Amino acid sequence: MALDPSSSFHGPYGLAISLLQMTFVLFMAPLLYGWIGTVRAILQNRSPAGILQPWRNLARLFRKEMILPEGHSPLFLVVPPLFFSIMAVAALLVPFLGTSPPLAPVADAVTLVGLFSLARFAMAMAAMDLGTPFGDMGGRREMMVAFLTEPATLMILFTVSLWSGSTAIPAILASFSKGPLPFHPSLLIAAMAFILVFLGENARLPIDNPSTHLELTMIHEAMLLEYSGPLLALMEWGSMQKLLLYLLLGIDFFVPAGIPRTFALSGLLEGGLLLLGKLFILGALLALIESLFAKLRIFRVPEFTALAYLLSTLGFLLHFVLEG
Amino acid sequence: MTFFSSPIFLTLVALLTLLLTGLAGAGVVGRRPALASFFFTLLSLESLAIALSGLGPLVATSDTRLILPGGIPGLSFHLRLDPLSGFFLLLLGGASAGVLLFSAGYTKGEPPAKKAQFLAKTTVFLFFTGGVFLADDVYSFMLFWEIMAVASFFLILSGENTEGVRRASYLTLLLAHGGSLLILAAFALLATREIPSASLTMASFSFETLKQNHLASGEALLVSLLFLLGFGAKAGVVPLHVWLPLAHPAAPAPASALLSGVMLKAAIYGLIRALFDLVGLPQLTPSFGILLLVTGAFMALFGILHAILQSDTKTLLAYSSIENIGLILLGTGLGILYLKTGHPLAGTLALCAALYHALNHAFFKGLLFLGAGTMIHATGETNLNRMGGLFKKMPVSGALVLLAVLSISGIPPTNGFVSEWLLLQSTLQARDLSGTIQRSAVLFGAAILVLASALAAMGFLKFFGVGYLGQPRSDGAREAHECSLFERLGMGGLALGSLFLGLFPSLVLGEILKAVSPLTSTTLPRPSGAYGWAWLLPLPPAGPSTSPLFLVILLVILTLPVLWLVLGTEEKKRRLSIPWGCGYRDSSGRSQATAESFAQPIRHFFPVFFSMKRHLPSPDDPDPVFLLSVEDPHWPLLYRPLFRLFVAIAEGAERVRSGRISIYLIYSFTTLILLLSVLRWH
Repeated sequence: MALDPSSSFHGPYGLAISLLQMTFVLFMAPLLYGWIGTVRAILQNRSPAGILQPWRNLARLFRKEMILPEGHSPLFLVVPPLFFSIMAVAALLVPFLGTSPPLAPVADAVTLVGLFSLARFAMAMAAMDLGTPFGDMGGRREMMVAFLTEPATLMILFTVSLWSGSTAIPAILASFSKGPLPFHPSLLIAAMAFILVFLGENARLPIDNPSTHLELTMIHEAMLLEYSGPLLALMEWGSMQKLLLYLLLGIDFFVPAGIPRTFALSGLLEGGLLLLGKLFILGALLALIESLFAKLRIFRVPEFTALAYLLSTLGFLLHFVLEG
Repeated sequence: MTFFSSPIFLTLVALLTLLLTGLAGAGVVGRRPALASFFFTLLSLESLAIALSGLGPLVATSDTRLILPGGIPGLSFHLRLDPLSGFFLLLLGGASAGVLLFSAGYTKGEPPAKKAQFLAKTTVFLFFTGGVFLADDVYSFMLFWEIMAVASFFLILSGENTEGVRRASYLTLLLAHGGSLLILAAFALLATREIPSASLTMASFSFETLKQNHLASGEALLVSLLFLLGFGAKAGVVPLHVWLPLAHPAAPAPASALLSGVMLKAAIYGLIRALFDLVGLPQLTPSFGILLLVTGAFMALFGILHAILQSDTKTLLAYSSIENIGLILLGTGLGILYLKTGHPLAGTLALCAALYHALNHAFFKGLLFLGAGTMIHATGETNLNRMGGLFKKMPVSGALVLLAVLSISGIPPTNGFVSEWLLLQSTLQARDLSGTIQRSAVLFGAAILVLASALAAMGFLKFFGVGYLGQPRSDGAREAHECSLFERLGMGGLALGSLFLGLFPSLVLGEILKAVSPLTSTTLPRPSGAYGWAWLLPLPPAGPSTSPLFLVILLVILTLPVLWLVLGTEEKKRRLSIPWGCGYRDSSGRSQATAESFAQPIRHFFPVFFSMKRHLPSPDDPDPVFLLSVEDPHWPLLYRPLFRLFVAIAEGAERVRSGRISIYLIYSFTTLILLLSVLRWH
């Protein structure tokens, strides 16, 4: 048996599928952002700006001039393109149009989390590059959130990989597709932990408010404070992709029904529509969560993330105790 | 194969050449200081030769022995070069090649006598550490081990001659000797259990005969524990780690790099050799594996939490070494657990992961210590809070340090990520275990492993962010300059090694496997096919795969065009402006985050790991003082009471010393009577 994972690349056909995946994520991510914003506005009795607003923002930022802060190092310029590309690469690795994307063997779930961690580290470094109080604060706080959400993410991934025994995401999906899933307490706990991790990792309420620039509370925005024009657009676009990718991962692990096995054209269309439906529902739910909860005090954040970490570890343990 | 072309002979020649060159260099450099760079470069090449000689037995899986005259009566020097020794020689040679080249630049400003001393000390240290890897009997092993320990004592002493340095080196020596006694005791127990003790001769102290021991299960556990504590004292196993955070800051940077990169690994080598080869896998128990696993997990968490709290560059790195040794022990323990419960594949994988991490740590931690040395030289400061902004002043060495920082944080596509990935994959094999305790132990290990790795990212963002990024925080940092060419070359060598280990994991794993499979009698299947070498696929065909190389290719393909689109074309639409600082400019750099501000949430979140003293002034205090001291809890809870106890015992014993000869005569007389009566009884 040939043990060369490169054989799954499938040449030009695989390339086409990969490009399709990347394009989908690149174009859908701002729309999803717009959708969440719209639902939020409706829930909060404001008139929505429409789901195209993030696209308009990005277009405006790309047209603008670039105002660079004095005393920046090359790191400051390199990080936004790197951050953006990491997310674009991650879009090639997460299955959503079919259960095994051509490039999936390049990175298993652990590597994927590692990629997100590279993105975060790069962003925090860029934030600390100037030595302004806000940048430092943002970078520091980002790591304070991440030191528990990252292990929690990994523990969730370990839990879902227990059925297949492999952290390769297609293998996990394959193990889920064997008939209807019975009720698994460990998966339920893992899903709860995933929601907490999702909010923490994507700078959403109640951890961070994406629409605030209040000095005492901001995390994500504090890191981006010195960016402007196209560089800011890359960072924002990257973050939108990250949100979408996390949602796609959640769909993969907790509501995987209907993801086509192969990349046949008919299945692709049907699966794509189903996926859009899931995304719209989950986006609306996210907006609901964000409208119901107030932002946590920054000192309480580690308690929130610790809950995620403990829940995810508990899910892992439960599998052995109840289901193993 | 003739004797003169046998791998072990070539290795000995390589080691001896290094020693002789070093000693000759020490003699010459004292009078002709200009030749120091020449000698360091030569030594660096000779280290590479040692690395090559270690690679030999890995590639050819050869196992050669050599018996040299000398030693003690009845036991001549037994030497052996097997793949495991070869692997550690490779580690020693590879890491020290970079460090020695770096030393050529680092010692430039030192007086000639000091340069000469440093040459002699490093080469003696490296030679005898190499000897430890080759020794095949108790006498030569202990001889090499002790000289290595003493050499490390002198290496630490080659820093500034201050009270702190002397104390640190003394403590190092003390713990090393305590450890050696335990190791010796373990060897003695092993030797007496192999044959009836009546026929115990000197020859039974060769490793070959020690392997034929028949230990009862309780004795096997005792011997393993003695080995763990004995080697642990030198590897920095908690609670015997207290010398590490003192010794590393005291020693000059290249010496710290060698101590952390090479000497800690010698202790790991000793432990693996003793457990797997001498005590023997059949006599180990799963519970000892669990003990090792839990110890490793605790060390990892303890080490990284304390690392985050440190503001001193090298103390931070020293605590992080405790974390990494913890990860290596975790992998080793996991390996024993799997092997003893009938999962040879998973066990082999875990052990490979542990050795891979040992190799990685030698490279990236060496690089970090060298980087810390350049930071300290450039600024004249040791505290991170007095550095800052160095990345702009020292772009080359800064970029090299950044690589090591990413690597130690386990971020892909670096070598640190590869070994942590392997460790994680081996913990995930826990579902094949049956016992609840065993599964929970592995689960606990996995949970701590991911937490420690995320915390490491936080700690090293602090290291790089406070030290290299931002604005200068002191006059020293404002006037910092890039380090010398030799220093950059040495660091570059280690960085190249790290890159190779990160991008071609399959090739490296294949060689490590050759060192591990004789211990576990199992081998892992290898990825095959045209691009099999580009993949890390330890458990094919269904197992997970990752490919740092393809990841890098994808990232580069995507980043470069974006970078060019955004920055390359629109030169006119760019302008500089003042960064936002709430309306005013801070040119002193004092409004930046301090190293302590990173530590604050950690201190609050994990209070049990620290012994903290805090004093908050009351609002009406006319002379308010804010005080916070954080300490390793082992000092107030373990070591200081222990020292007090020793002093109390010594003072009590002092009372029998009256100074009168008649009293002393009575002491001698009673002792004599007692001894005689004991003899009579038998």
